[in-house]
Amino acid sequence: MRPAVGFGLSVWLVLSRVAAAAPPPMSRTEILDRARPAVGYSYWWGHGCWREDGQDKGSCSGSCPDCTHTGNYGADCSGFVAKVWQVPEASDVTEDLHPYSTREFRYSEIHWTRIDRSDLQPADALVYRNSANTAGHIVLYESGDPWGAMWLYEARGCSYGIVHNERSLSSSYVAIRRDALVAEQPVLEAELLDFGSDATPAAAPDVDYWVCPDASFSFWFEFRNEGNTVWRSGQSGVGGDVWLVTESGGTDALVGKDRISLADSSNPEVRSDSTNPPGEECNDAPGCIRTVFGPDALRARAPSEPGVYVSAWQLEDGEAGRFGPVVQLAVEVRSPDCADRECGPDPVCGVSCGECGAGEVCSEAGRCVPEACEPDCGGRECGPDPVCGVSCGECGAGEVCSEGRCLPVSGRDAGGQDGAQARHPVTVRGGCGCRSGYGPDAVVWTLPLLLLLSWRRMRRAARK
Amino acid sequence: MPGRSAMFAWMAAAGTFLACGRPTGGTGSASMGLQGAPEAREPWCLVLPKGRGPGQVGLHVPREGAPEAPMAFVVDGQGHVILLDQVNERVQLLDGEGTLLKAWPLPSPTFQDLALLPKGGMVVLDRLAARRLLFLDEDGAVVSGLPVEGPYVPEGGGVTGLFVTREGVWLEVEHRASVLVAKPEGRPVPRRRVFGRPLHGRVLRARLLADGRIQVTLGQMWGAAPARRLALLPESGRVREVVALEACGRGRILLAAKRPAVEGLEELLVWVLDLEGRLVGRRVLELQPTALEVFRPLRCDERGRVFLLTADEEAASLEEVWP
Repeated sequence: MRPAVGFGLSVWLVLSRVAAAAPPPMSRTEILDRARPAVGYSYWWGHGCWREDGQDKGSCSGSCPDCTHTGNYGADCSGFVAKVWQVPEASDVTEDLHPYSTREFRYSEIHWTRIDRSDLQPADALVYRNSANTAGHIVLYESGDPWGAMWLYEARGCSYGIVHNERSLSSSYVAIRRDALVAEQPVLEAELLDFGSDATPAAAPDVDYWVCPDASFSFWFEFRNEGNTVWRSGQSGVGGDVWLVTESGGTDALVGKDRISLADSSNPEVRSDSTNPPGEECNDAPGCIRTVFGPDALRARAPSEPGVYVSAWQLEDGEAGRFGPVVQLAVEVRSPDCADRECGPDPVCGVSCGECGAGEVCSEAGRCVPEACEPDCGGRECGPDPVCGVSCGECGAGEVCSEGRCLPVSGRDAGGQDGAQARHPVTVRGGCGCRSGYGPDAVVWTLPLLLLLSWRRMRRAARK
Repeated sequence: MPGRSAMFAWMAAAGTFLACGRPTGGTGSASMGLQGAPEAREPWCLVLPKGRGPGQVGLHVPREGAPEAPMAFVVDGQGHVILLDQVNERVQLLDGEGTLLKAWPLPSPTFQDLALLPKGGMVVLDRLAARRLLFLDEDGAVVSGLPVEGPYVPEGGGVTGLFVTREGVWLEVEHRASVLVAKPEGRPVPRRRVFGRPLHGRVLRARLLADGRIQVTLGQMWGAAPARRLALLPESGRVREVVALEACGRGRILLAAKRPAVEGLEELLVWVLDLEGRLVGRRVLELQPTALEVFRPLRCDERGRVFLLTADEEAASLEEVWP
């Protein structure tokens, strides 16, 4: 049978059923539940059926209506919506029916009614026909912005089959609503939109942030209400008393709390898409569909012990219990990184790497070095002190320093080593005479001095 | 609303496609080349008629199904257009006049986005049917493939964009998060997620506020330590939907949003910002709504120019809308 013939025949076969039928009362959730198992089934032009168990999905090739379908199940766009809407009457999803085309959905109001697109709610549909009225498409709306990005179910076409996807539709599409909808059971659902912290982002894949032991920081989670019920605080009924609680039920190791009230979030009345004024999705002001817990309510102090700490939370309603995803933040408390440092603060956290011993000080490189020398000139008036080698003074013109005393220059000494000392005074750098004593200047004057002292001792010995 | 001179309009009417303010008759010839154009010039545009031949594009309008046009494009540094002509199961490389230079075959008509790779070749996204990424070399040969779904991408239908940065290949999820899935050469990496659009080691975000304005912020890539607000747009009036946020060449940021206009038209607001959030340029475009789906209608190039891809049942139109 050619598909085109099949399409016409199936429309003709259901005409008598359409005339007297009435769709069964259905909730929006029931409609979406009926759509979900259809995802993955093939596009079958002029048909509408699938199975709940996901078997025998069939396939389509070519460009419809000149396409080839194999298998016993599948649907085109209008057959798909008619089946999930159960129009004109109740039928099993496995029963192949195709009662309406997009022409009827677009231009008639048989078991449905045209609505303002801004009023779109889950399980409504969006339909278009081209200007020549020769082609059209219809999708089942699930969630999202009616004028922006929406989650949809649709039998897209032969190459794709029936899909569930997020996309936007131009204003060529108009909104329609099935008749005989019944009130929903309240549903609480949430989605994590974002999270963050003022701690330092971590580079490791399993850790979000890192901090130092005992550091103070804060973090936050942003949620969107994905159910059909408003979240409130301190009231009764489903959604009337919403909290963010720890996953374990115990006190969180970082925050030191086990629950945070919605009243302490950025939005104490979180509406859902279905209760929000259409097109008014906003961030976190009262009446918006999102809220942020923290950072004020999630102020944390890092434990003293290094390691990875996971702060895990979930929303909880006083009547309905827990709902939404478990959200978590993995924080690494890092060990101070002393590497080869033996003293002073580590460069990561500023924690002490150790203390130096008596007579030592900590250098900038984190090493213990001898404490600075304290020169002791005693009764010396010139020459180096015997402790640090720092100059105790310089002699005047015509004098020479001899064992700490300035003595008149003898003829022999006038051009000797003491004269050289006078031309190379001791230099004390940075207040540490000991360290400068190891410098090149010290070598210049120390060597002649030692030679002079040795020469004098030898002369005294010779006199004796 | 700006004066008519600042507005760029095109409409499909009575079989005549008006692009760049003049009729082109759907012949497929460009009104002006992309290279060597003088500064004081009319905006560049390219009209690509329906067909399967060189320089033509697949426009599929099934009797009971989703109508679709070329889903995405890129304009490279040489001014060439790389067009995802998925209905015809190919990627076309066109010069600025619309002449076909090269075509790469695709294994199916279900690809919806593409991006160029820094060392040549490209990556294409099939988010709905096979739910995979394919890496193609410069000759169009498939080098490797990667599943779309995985950590942070539970459902291919939630992927809303494909981006390549120096960090690698990213999948955008629900216009909100970006998930790093592969190195630029196609090697998979442990998946990581940021909220926003990756930009030179940082993350750009655009949020629609309650008052209908858009807040653009720039923060750190890994983590969400306080981000810096770059801009708050528009100056007046409210928008309905943010439709594009892209990092362009020359330190430019492309931001675009839609808002309803009179008589069934849609207004597309396009802003070009610098990395400090200063407004470099602004355009308001009037669109004739069309049911044909284009997955990534707005793109900018290395030179900071902004392009828009639209289509009706007769032809696709690719136009420079900034500067």
